[in-house]
Amino acid sequence: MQILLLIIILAPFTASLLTYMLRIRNGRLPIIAASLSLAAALFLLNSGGKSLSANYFYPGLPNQPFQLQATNSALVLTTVILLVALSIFIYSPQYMRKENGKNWFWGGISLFLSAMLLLVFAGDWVLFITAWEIMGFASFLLIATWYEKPEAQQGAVKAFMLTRFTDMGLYLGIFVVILTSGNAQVFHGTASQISTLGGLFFLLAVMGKSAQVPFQSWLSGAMAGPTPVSALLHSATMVAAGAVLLFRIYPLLNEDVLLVTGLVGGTTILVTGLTAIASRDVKQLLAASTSSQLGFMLLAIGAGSPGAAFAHWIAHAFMKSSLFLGAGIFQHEYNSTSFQKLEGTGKNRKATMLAFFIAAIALSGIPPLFGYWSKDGILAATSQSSHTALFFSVAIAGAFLTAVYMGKAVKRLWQGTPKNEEGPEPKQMLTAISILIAFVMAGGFFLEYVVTIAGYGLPSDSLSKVVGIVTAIAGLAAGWLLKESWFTGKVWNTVRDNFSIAGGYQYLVVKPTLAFAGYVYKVELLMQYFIQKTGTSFLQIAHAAFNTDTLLNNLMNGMGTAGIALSNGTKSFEEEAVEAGVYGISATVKESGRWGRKLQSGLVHKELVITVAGMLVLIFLLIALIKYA
Amino acid sequence: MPDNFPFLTIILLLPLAGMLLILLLKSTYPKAAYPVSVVISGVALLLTIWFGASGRVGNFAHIEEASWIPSLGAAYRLGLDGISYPLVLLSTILFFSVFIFSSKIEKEIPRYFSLLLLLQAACLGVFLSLDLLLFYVFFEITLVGMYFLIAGWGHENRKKAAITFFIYTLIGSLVLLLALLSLYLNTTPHTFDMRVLMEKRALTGTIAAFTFWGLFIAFAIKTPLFPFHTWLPLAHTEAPATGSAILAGILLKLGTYGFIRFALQMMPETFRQYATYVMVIAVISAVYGALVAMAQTDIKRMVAYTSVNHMGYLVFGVAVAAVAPPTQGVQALDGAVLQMFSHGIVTGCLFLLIGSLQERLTTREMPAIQGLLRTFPLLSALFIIASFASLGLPGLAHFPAEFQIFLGGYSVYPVAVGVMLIGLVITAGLYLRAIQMSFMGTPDKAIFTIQTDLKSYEQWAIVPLIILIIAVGLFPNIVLSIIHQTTKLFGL
Repeated sequence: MQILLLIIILAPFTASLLTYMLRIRNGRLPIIAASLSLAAALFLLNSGGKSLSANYFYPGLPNQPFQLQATNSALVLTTVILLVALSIFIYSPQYMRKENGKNWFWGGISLFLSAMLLLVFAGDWVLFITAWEIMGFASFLLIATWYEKPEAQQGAVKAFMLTRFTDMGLYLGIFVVILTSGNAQVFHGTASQISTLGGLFFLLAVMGKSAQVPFQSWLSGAMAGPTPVSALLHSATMVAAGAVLLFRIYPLLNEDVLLVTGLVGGTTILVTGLTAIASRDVKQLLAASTSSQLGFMLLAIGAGSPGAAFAHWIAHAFMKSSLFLGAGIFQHEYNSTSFQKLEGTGKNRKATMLAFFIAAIALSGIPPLFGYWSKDGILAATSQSSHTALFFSVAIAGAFLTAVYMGKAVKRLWQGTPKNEEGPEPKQMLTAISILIAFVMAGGFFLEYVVTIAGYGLPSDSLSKVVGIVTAIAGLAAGWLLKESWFTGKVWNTVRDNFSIAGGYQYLVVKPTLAFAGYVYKVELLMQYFIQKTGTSFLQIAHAAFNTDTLLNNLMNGMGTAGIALSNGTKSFEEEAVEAGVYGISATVKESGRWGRKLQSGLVHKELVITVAGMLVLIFLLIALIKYA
Repeated sequence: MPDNFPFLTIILLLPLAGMLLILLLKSTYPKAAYPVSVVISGVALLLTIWFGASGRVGNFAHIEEASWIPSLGAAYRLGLDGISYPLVLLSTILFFSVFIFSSKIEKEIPRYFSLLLLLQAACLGVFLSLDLLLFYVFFEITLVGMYFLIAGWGHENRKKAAITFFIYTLIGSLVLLLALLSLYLNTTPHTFDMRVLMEKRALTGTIAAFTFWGLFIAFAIKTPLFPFHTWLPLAHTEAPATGSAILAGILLKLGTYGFIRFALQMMPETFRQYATYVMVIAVISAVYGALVAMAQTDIKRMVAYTSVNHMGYLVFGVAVAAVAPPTQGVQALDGAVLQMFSHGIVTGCLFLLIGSLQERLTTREMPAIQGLLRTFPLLSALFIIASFASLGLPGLAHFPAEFQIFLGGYSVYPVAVGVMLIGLVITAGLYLRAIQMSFMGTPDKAIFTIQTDLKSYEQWAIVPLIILIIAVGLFPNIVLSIIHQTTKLFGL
């Protein structure tokens, strides 16, 4: 069993290494590796039934072994991740055919996948944070696939920097957990709650990774990468990792932290929902929608129902990846993702449009599609929580916004006259989407079963069902009817631009940091100048001292000669030893005087050597003095 | 091999033997210097690995002793424990890489290699010595060796660097000498045996305070910590690539090793008393180093300043070890010792890569450089991995070290840890900025002198270091298990 667990993680990792090292430019290896992982995951899941089907340790930090644990919940997540990833991998060769950076793309996306799998199985926090950050690194590489374009560079750097900043919350949170529980294991038998501060640290990390307000803007920058990357990054990995962290720490969080989690999620649902509605670009709309849907998961956790969040995590992974892959086909048609250019494109890509439509109404919550079941779970969870009035109304409003922006997206892609001729649908890409759409259509019927296997419960009640359906239909209608001209003006521009106040990240963070660094560097230069000056004057003093030294040497020389004369003169009065001693000393002094003159060249390195040698002599003299004094 | 076989003496003498051989062959076969150095350092490396792998490290389990100046209590004493072994290993690894990398040296080949071999012997001597006097002698020789390396094979502004280097090292050595003498004199009976000094911890009161701060200043200059660091960027700017790799990779560790061996192990009580001050200086160094690095446009100076940042974390870990409760103290110390090893391989690797870059470009100014990824894909990929290691990405060498330092530190100085995590973010920012500015984008052909990617000798020097960086990141236990043998005994 352990070997299967290792295969799941190592297969994509090996594929990544080989792709990079052998500079392979096609996706065969990653596709085979992902299939292998999927087979292993399904086998483990099937053979399970117990809560823990495999457990693997290896020595990591002292007294804190690294461990991988294949719990049922991890295996369910893994299966979803691999199904989505495999579909995206099947889609990609055709997508990348015309593009640059194939080797970079395939190596990066396999690394990305293996990091996510490692994260899901991580049984201790050190391995968890390792997977978490390697995924961030991989996403940096992937967003920068077309690194010659400035948007790609900026998007990649911004994504990594914002998440790196919030990851400090994960570091601190983990310190708190380890200090509280005494070990680094993720799954404790009996969980002891951590302090509110510790919980908030974790929440910060979740907010960054899952692109919650106010850190949502990196997601829109990340759109500069290839569309398959966006599809994976927005569905089953990266942003989804934030939610996985929430599932893991949920038992450790106290009431206050849960309330804050719900509030953050609720705010994000509304704020990014509006951004999505105001969006003029299909990928930007989907990006904002991702933040908003992740907000639903936070809301469900805040309402005390990780089961509902878990269900929505699964449903969202399939729906969002279908939407992105559909958008990718449209994008290829016009080399653009803006609605203006894509107008009516659905009419000459009817199969793709149908898939996009199904995924869109599924996300809006139309039965019996996937999103209906999971959204119902969240609505039910909020209606049963201790903050019903607040959470339930936010959830309904969010569901409405979701339907509105999905309605709008469908309309903008369908209505209007297409600018291109109707061409053949890209078969391979469409096949990949069909696999995902099959899950979107049928998945809902198995959702409760799957959630139960994972060890959670899926809340549901009939009132939420009715309200949910009504909201979805109303929202879709509103989305179809609304006019783009309503969203002009300063306020809507700000909304569209992810509420970037005062110039956003560039002006609020980057510039001041650089300015401050520049200021500190001025201090540094001042210090160096001071040291230089001291150094130069020191050398001058040394030079003067050297001259004095020569004088002294001559003096000593004279004394030495006098000493010899003296000892010669008083030979009869002195013992032989003393005579020899004095003679020896004076001769040495004489000798060293000559040597000193020879070395008086003013060159720094000679002085250094002399100093070192002098110091060594000094040490012996001092010791000798002390020893025999 | 029998247990009393003098492994350590052989490891120490190998480079010196190599040096002699090179000097003997100087006139007849000047080119023999390169293969001789590579083979000699390779054998030293293998012997060191074998010594560790055969489980002989322990806590000075294997000692080699010979009388030297019996009347003073000074002797030739060599031994290794979990703190010094990683450093000896680091020295042999890095020197091996540096020798391979030096294949294209043209100026005074025999002198260059014999100087480097002398430097290697001195570095090994510092970490192997268990005698104050022996330690001090080797410590001084490293200065001289490094000095000549910069002066002989450095770049344009040697004199300025030389003056600064000179002033600092002069003061540092003098203070160190006095502190060591004080350790000697205030222990009865007088002894230079470091094991006895670590056991007795005899210094108390005012003398202890003076000795402690003497040691602190000496090692803070070497490490370097703010505000004693200004020699470092200057020396790096002027030093040749190999010199920079050795300087940052190994010579800085002389200071941090001193902090642990002398300040922490010989006078823990005094250290505990002043730990807060040390901690504050370390935190300032970490943040200050990161900020100044961010303001650099010269890529080599940027990397040089990140050392100040990393050494800040390291000394913070040592300060934590002095005050924290045993569990957390040991965690921080494990981290600090591993940080020495990790910083050595990561920064050594970065400086070698910059050396390769410098051979291919007309400038080191990042704003002028563009499109390296397109032109030199392998070099750039390795640089990106090494930079992410340097910024502390988990899965690479720095993370297990820094994680343990911060984890241990959080129990005693949570606010300081918070401040230093900001340093971690700034470091990430500066490396990403460099990558964005110089490695991405479209190449500007005007700045390239050669357009070929890494040559085979460069790959042989650098790729093993990269593999090691990843190995230590994913399997930190390979080094930590040896370190922890010793650190776990810190009852302090």
